[in-house]
Order: sequence, then C-alpha cells, then structure tokens
Amino acid sequence: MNDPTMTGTVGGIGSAFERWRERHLRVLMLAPTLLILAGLTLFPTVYMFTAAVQKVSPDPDVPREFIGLGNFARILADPELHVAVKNTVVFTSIAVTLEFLLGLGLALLFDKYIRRLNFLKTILLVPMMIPPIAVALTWKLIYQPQFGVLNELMFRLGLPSQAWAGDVNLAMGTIIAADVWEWTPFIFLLMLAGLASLPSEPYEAAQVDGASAWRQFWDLTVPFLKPVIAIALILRIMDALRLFDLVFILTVGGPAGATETLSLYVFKVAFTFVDIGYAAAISLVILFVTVGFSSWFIKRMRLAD
Amino acid sequence: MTTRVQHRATEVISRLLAYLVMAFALFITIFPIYWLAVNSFKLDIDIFAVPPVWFEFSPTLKHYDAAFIGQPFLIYALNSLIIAVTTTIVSLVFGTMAGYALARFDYPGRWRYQISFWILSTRMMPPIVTIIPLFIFFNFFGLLNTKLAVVVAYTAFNLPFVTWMMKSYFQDLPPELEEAAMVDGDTRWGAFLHVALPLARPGLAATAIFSLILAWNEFLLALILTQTERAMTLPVGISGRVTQYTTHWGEISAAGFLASVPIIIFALIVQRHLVRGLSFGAVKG
Amino acid sequence: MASVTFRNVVKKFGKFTAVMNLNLEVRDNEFLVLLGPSGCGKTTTMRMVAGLEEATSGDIYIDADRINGVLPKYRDVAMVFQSYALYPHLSVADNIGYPLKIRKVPPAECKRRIMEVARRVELDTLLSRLPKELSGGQRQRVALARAIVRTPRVFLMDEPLSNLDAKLRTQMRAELKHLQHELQVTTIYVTHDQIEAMTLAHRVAVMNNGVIEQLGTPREIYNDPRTLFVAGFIGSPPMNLIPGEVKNGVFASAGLRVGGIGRADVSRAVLGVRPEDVHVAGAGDADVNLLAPIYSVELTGESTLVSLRLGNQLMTLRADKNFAGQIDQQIGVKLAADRVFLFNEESRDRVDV
Repeated sequence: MNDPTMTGTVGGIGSAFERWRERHLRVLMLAPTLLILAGLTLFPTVYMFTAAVQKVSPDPDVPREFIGLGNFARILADPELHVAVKNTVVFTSIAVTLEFLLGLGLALLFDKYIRRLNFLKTILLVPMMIPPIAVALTWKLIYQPQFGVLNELMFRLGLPSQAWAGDVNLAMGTIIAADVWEWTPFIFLLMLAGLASLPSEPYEAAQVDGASAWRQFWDLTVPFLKPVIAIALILRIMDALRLFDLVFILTVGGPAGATETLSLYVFKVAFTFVDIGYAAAISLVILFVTVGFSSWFIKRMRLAD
Repeated sequence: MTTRVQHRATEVISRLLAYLVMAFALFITIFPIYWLAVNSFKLDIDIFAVPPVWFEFSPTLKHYDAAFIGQPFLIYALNSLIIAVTTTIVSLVFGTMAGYALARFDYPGRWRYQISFWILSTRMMPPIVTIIPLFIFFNFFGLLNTKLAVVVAYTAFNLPFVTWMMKSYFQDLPPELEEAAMVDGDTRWGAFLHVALPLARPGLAATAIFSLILAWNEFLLALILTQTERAMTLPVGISGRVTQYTTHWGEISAAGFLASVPIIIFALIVQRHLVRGLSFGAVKG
Repeated sequence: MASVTFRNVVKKFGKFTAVMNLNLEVRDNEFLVLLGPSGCGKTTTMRMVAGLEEATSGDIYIDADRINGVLPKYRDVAMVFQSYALYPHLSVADNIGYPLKIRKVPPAECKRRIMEVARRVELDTLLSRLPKELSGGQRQRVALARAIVRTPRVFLMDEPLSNLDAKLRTQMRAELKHLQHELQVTTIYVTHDQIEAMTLAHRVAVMNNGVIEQLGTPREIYNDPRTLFVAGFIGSPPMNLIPGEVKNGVFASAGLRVGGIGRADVSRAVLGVRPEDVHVAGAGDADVNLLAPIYSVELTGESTLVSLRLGNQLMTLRADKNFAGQIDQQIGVKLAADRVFLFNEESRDRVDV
C-alpha cells in the first residue's frame, strides 16, 4: 500500500539543508533580532562608558583627557542638574497622580453607566495617539497669552490674564495640564480593560451579603484591579520621567529653568554645551537607574515568563 | 433602608451625572483638536483675533499651501512615511520570527528568561540615554542626516516591541495546529509560514500599525539625527517653525493637523488591540 | 500497514520521567490502545511515534526503519488530535487536502481523493464550509478524513472521542472500528476511557506512571488482570478490591471470609472480585462468604447495583433487576470461587491461589 504519489517521503529523510535548518530553527529565527539589538545597544553602552570617564571638548582638535570619575563627581555638585531632577520628579508625581485619578474615575463611570456607546471610547483615545508634537503645539496655541482661548476664558470669568507658559510659577502647571490631557486616556483604557475582566459573581455575593457600592469598590474592585493598576502606573511613570517633546515646544525648559526636565538638561549638555563626557556620565546614571527599576518591574510583574 | 422608588431615583440621578461628566470629558478631549484643525483653515487675522473666532470665519487653504508647497513639509511628510514604513517592515520581518521562536521553542536553562528580559528592558530604555552614542556613531560613518540612520535608530526600539507583541499573539494560538501541519507533511518552518502566520494576521496587522504610529510620532531621535529635508521628519519640521522669534501659527497648525489625521484613522482601526500594545501584552484587551 | 516497535525507550522532561523503559511491538494492521489515567505517559509515547517528541534514549522503529530524529513529515504517519486541530482559516476541503497539497500532489488527483474520502465519512455536502460552522461530530470527521486521505503507514489517535457527547461517542466508536478494519492500517489509539479500549482494541496496553502494567487482548485484561492497578482500572463498575490477610488458607477482612486459598499466609493481601461475580445468597443458605447490611441500592435498568458495608469500605455487587432489598437490611452473599483474584498489597501484583 505504499502509494507511489505519496512516496518520496516514506523512508526518505529530506535534504541536508532542510535537516540543518529544522534542527537549528530555534536559533535561526531568533538570532537576527538578537544580533541587531546587540549591535545597537552594546555599542552605545560601551561608548558611554569610555566617554563618561573622559573630558571631551567641543573643539574636535582638543584631545580627550581621562578624568576618571570627575564627570560623576560633577553630577553630585551640579545645581542645574538637581533642579532638573526635582522638576522631573515633581512633574511626574503630580501628572501621574492626576492622570490616574481621572482615568480610573472615568473608567468606573464608563463601565457602570455607558457601556454600550463604544465609539465614545474611541474619541477619548485620540489625545494619546496623535503625535506629541501636535499635542504640544495645540496647547501652545491655547496657552498663547494674546489670542489663546484660555485667557479668553479667564476674561469671561472676570479673572486676570496670565502668561501661562511664560509665567515662572504657572509654567510647570501648563505642562502638567497638557500631559494630563494627553495621557489620561491611557489610564482610562487600561482601567476599562481591567474592569471589563472583573468576574460578576463575587459582586453578586457581596450584594446578597449586604455590601454597599462603596464597600464593593474597596473590598472587591481595588484588589482585583491591583495588577492592572500597577502596570498602568509604572508604565506611565517611566514615560513621564522621560518627558521631552512637550517641554521642548511649550517652554523649552523655561522660563528660568522652571520646567527643565532631566531629558531636556541632558540634551542641552550634549548638544548646546557639547560636553559629551558629562552628558555621557549623566546618561549612564539614568541608564543604571532605569535598568535597575525595569528589572524589578519585569521580575515583579513576571512579564518575561 | 432605601425603598425601591428612592433607589430608582438615585439611579437615575447618578446616571444623569455620569452622562454629564462624560459629555464634559468628551468636550475637553475634542476641543483642542477641533481648535487645531480650525486654526489651520483660518486667515491670519482670524487666528490672532481677540476675542477668538469660534465658528464664523472664511476658511482658507493658504496655510496648507505655505506649509506643503512653500515650505518643504510635503517632503518632511514623505520622509516620515518612508522611514515609518521601512522600519516597520524590517522590524516585522525579524521581530515576528523572534516572537515565534520565543513563543514556541524551548531554550535551555536561564537563557529564555535572560533573552526575554533583555528584549523587554531594551524597550524600556529612555531614548535620551542613547542619543549621544547614536549621534557619534552615525557621524562617524557619515550617516548623519540620512533616512537610513533614522530607520536604524527606530528599528532598535521597534524590534523589541514587535517581538514582544508577536510572541503574545503566537502564544494565543493552540500549538496543535502547527503540530498537525507537521504530521501532515510540513516542516516546522513550513508550519510557521502556512499555519501560524495566517492565523496571527490580525495581531500582525495591529503590531504593524502600532509600529507605524510610533515611528511617525517620534521626535527626539529624529531631532538629533536630521538637519535638512534630506531626512527631516514631520515632527521635527514642525518644531523648526516654532522659533524664538516668531511662530508661524497657521503653517504649523496645518502641518500638525495633517500629521494627526492619518494617526487618528489608524488608531481607530487598531483599537481592539490597543490595550495589549500599550501594556506590553501584560493586559489583554 | 506497518509494525511499530519500541525498544528500551525512555522519555524525560527535565527531571521528570514520563516514559520508563518502554518495550512494545505493535503488529501490522493491529488496533492497539494505550490505556491509562492522565499523566501515565500514553500521549507522550504516541507523540514520539509522530515525531512531535524525541525519545531521550532507546529506539523506535516503523517496520525496519529507525525513526529517531526523523522529521515528522518523513515518517508517513497520520494523527487525529484530541481537539481535532483543524485549520480554522481553511475550508473543509482544504483541510482534508492539506497533506496532499504539501506533498505537491497534482490538483486533479487531490480533488479526486478529497471527494472519495469525504464521501466515505459523509462530509461531501460540507466541503466548502469552515470549521467554525461545523458541529463537534462533523469536525471530528474532518480530522479523520484528513488522516485517511494519505493512506499512511500508521494512524495515531489522541483521545479523538473525548470531546463528543455520549450518544455520538457510541456511534463514532462503531464507525472507527469499522473504518480501521476496512483500511487495514496499523493504529495506535490513546484513551483514558476503558470502555473505548475494550470495545475498539485488538490489544490493550494498560499504562501507569510511565510503564506498561499489562499488555493483552481486552478479554485477557478483563479476565486475567496481572496487577492491582489493571484490576481496578478495567471494568465498570470497578472490581471490588478488599484489603485483608490470608491465614491458614482463608482470606479474612472484616466480615468477609473466603476459603480454599491454597498458598502460604500473606499478611497484606487484597482480594479482587468483580460485582457480577458476587451473588446474593438464597434465603436459607448458610454457606455465605459475607453477611452485611445494605448501604445503597441503585437500579440501572438491566440490573441493580447493590453496595454492602464491609468494615469501612463498600462492596458492590450486580443483582437482578428485580432485587427488592432495603437499605440497612442484612443479606448474605457468595463469591464465585473461580472468579476471585488475590493480590499482594505491597508488590501490587497478582499472586496465584
């Protein structure tokens, strides 16, 4: 019953190439990606290690000199850097907290009362999808002191106009507001997904047991949502710490460094002062902190399993 | 002890309040975008008018003309497109294979964890940390201000993303289908091509669109690596028209709005997969 | 049409040994069932024949060809998966024809074979449908059709009936048996359902914890179980297994006495007797093996299952359908002397009486 049209496989074992390919498939399919990534991440890291321990002058003709940990010492003594770090931390804390509260609140409302109108959800997602540049200039338009709509609103409310992005005290607020507008949908979306996956039976049991809506929220919803909340918060925090686009367009770090974030400062050091060594040192520190933090995060949330 | 009637009343009031809040949220969301769009069609006098002109103005296309024909925004847009498409294709080709490998194959001991971990952490690295070496690197090879440099830089960030997403989609497919294909006469590679890929098509499409969006929106790396219309992307072009002296509001509104429109369309298409994409596959929408 | 031979095959997953030193010869045209509980290694054994797993050590042959390390596509085996594994994006016809397409069989020939096979499993009217539009039974037939369209050397079936409802299952059992007979293909069939094993197999290999406890025809397995495990696994309702001791030729446990045991004392023994071999004693009959109170009475239609309380376990017997006993009523029962098995509790093996 050895069907001749089906033979060619009976007893055969295939070409040498095919055998080799199949046996090594698990390496062949993964290798290109790993190699590309290795090339693109190892080089920068190595370079930065060498640059960070040198004093590199903007003038290409001046030779580099080895200064050991000099750049790193500077990190500890640089007031502008400290201000940048402070700004970044302040921004992140306030912005992410606001985004979280608003996002969660909206998600709870949507989940409870408005489930069916899905296209609304779609509209609410737009701010986080459009290019951050567009977000920045949209808000720049709104904050414009002379003809921006915000001052028009102030006028209608009988309040004095403000310089908004140009005001030392308000500038950070303007950045935060724009960021909250842009990223609340992110939290909203993730919380919504989390809420949609909640099982209904525990709630039914709680109702029969006599728990109020408030109790149900604290005793059931919050514990169930903990993993999603953790992911949403941490992702948002990591992104907020990197803030660049918005500040670059709205305030360029001003006025008087009130909104200079860490990314902006490193950018300035590297490309305005062209102090490569110092910039490399700062970058390395940021890299270590980020890697350390994301290791913890990946391990904790078991993302790599 | 609330009665049925009281309960219903609070229900109705709560629902009304919820609708109000939602309507407000919608308004806040839409208004800035509306404003941007509307401004791109206003004459300069209308743009600078105080009080602002909400609806009644005579629309004009002059800013679009100035931006895309007068200024090289059309070229910037083309650059953005070429870069986005190229980096997406490259990332998809290699990342999909890598994602499949991680989803299906056994790797010895700690290797699998290390590799997954490394891929993930590459994605989490802040771009600012890579700008100096990337700049020096491309400068050294004379590749500054080329589209190639931007594609390479973007791929470094895109590859881990694609790998991770596709791994998650492949893990959703039952392995028996590929096993059946192998017993039927396919090799593992054949099963990947004939069974796994077609079935992962929705995930593939979503990942591709995400990749396109991320590349299109990117600013910092493009800012550093490009200088002229040879390689400059749309976001960088827009920021160039926001100088310390003057801001060409009409032009950048036009460019900004146009840059946003395709994204809005894409975002609508890929909606269902958004949650998975945004949370690294940790949360499945 | 081929024999499958396992020689000293071992399969380990890391530290866990799934299959331990397996030696088995599946004969040409035989329907061999690998029977056992989940985790016993039966599916792993079958997957090694398919090439989806590789043996850690040992040799596997199909006829005279050693197939260790040979890619699945070259082994000429066909497999029906428990979940059917139909390609969701292909129509029924394309699903069935997939193995042919892969091997570059000309389209006209493909079509002819697909039709022939579809007719045989009664799918010829559904060829353009997609799997999601089919019922469970229909999907199963597509999986079957895909397997037989190739006329392979060996059929492998991984619990193909377990996802079907009871009625369909009985129907498909008969069809499978008939199909195998018609096609004359060596078949290795994996299941945990002993009724399937009994009804379908030429021979059954009862597996537990990676080893074959007994290999034999269904009749042999049923009437002549060699180990405690086999005795307890086969038969529905299961064989009564009563721990006790043998002393002076008498097995004793709680109120049960079975005499005539011609062997030395065994301190930890297990007596096995099937429910149908335990009979209710007549009203005045004094020569009973056990006098015990009834624990429950279940009428199955064709018989009555009566459970008696024996120490702290139950003994089940199959009585006539008109049995009229009451719970807590004392009755006497007799065990058919030649149908009683004795096992050593420690070694789990049968001991001869």
